[in-house]
Amino acid sequence: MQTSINQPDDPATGARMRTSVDVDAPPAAVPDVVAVKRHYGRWVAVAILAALAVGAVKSLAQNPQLEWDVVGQYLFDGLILEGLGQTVVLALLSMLGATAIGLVFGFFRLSKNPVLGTLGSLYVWVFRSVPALIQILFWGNLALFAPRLGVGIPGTGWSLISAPTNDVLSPFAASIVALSIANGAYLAEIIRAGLLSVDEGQRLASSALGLTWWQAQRKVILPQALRVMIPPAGNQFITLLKETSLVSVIAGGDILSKAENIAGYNLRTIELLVVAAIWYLLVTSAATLGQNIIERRTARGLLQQKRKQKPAGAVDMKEASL
Amino acid sequence: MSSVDIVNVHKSFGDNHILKGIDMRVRQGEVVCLLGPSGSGKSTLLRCINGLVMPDQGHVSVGGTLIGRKVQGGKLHDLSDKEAAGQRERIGMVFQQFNLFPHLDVRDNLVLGPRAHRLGGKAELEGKAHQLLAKVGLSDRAKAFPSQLSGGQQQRVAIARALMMGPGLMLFDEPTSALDPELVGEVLDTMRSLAQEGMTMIVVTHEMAFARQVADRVVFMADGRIVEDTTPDSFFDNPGTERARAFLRLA
Ligand SMILES: Nc1ncnc2c1ncn2[C@@H]1O[C@H](COP(=O)(O)OP(=O)(O)OP(=O)(O)O)[C@@H](O)[C@H]1O
Ligand SMILES: [Mg+2]
Repeated sequence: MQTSINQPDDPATGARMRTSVDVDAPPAAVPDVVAVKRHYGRWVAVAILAALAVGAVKSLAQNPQLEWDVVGQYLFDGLILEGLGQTVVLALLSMLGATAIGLVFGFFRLSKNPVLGTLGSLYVWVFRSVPALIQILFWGNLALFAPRLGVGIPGTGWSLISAPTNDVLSPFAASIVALSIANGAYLAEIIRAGLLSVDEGQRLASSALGLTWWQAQRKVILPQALRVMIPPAGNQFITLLKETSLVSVIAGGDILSKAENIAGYNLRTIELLVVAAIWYLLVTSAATLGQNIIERRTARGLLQQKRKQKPAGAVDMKEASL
Repeated sequence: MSSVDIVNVHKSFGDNHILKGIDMRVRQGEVVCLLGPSGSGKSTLLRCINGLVMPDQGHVSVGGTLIGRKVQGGKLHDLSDKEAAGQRERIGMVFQQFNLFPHLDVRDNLVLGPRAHRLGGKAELEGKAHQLLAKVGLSDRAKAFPSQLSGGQQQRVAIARALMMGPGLMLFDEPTSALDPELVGEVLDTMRSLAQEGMTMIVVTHEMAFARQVADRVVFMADGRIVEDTTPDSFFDNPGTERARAFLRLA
């Protein structure tokens, strides 16, 4: 039997290639070795980029306006390190606050209750629309129109506790409140998307097992939603880490506030900005690393979810212990 | 084991009247197969039995307990989330798509429900999980994740999971419809042995041979109504309605 397969002539050699496969013919000699791919284009790109990078580093290093020994001198300055600590604490506490707020409003937005649903939408709309800088200035200057803060019944004059706003809401506290509220709107959206990504069958199965709504969320839905939420939440945290620099406008005590303070009396503005930038770079890198670790840990069991219905036995148990 | 009483159950989704007055009774230890064309409301009815869907009118009671509602001032009122959840403890349900928890291994899938209900200590429940896994022929897969199991194995795990709380009633919604043909048998065998132990079972299925062999009764639904409610032999050999004959010709 002969099967005919049409193939183009080889233009390089002019030879006519075999146009039919003769099943009975002895196999042609085909080499066993696959050629190694050579990515010449990549090497050229790397060379160009390397040249550009060297140029950039050289111009920075040799710029007389930028004294690197001053940068080195302030990199570990006591005030800078204190500001760095404040920045990290500010970012962590704000992320915590934003996550708590995001959980509440994320669930609200998915609620069948129209009141809660509308409340959730309104929250996200307002606090995602107003620039974080305005929100920070607002909370930082709250004393201007609310001189006292307290708990009581409005209109009755009765109050449980009351204190001057500036005593309760230090610039640092105001910064945490502002950043939590502003980022809470983004977290609400991230959490909502995560919750939506979980298959409806998981809710049904949880209910059928007699789990209450909250038990189902905690043990079944949220752990699965987490996997989807972590990359955008990590992204949001890194944005937040840098957004903390905005609180320097109300002297929030972060690293940029400190750098500006120092630059205010030694006039080494550029050097101190470089100091702050270096620390942001390091802290952000650490956060990225942390995100990767968390991502890997939450992928447990879910990694192979896509590869459905693999027969038993054909399974590499190492996958399960990830 | 529990009996089931379904009385004049109506359910609409928006303008779609899906269940149009269902009356049905299942005695303790009985196996009832629920048959009917796609969209006739079989899943909706099954979900009314454990309160995943609440009827607009009528009621369901299991073992004499009203499901998802209580009577107050001559009317039915919804139970709280917690009370309704507590009622589902004794009603097992198995789904077409298995719905195992993909982030938990097989043993943790089994232990999750009873842990939430505080039905025992960790060691005790894990012991019970191993017994039930042995019963469905999967003792060696306790540490596997659902995605590492075949469809038939996943469904058997789902059955074991539903049995963990010692249900008096088991609901099956097309448990073999998502399976490759060669895996259907192992799941049906598991269900058959459960039926032999005297479990009350309501099974939505397209497996006519299973219905004929295992069911005590066949209930045939069409367009949100029960059209036939009879013995398997009489349903398959001598269907009383044109709807049922048309259905059987296609099956
Ligand atoms: N939660 C819901 N919201 C809106 N419509 C629904 C809902 N659940 C079911 N329906 C509709 O009710 C009708 C009956 O659905 P049901 O799942 O009960 O049918 P079924 O008999 O189980 O069909 P199948 O054999 O395809 O599973 C369908 O038209 C379906 O679209
Ligand atoms: Mg169905």
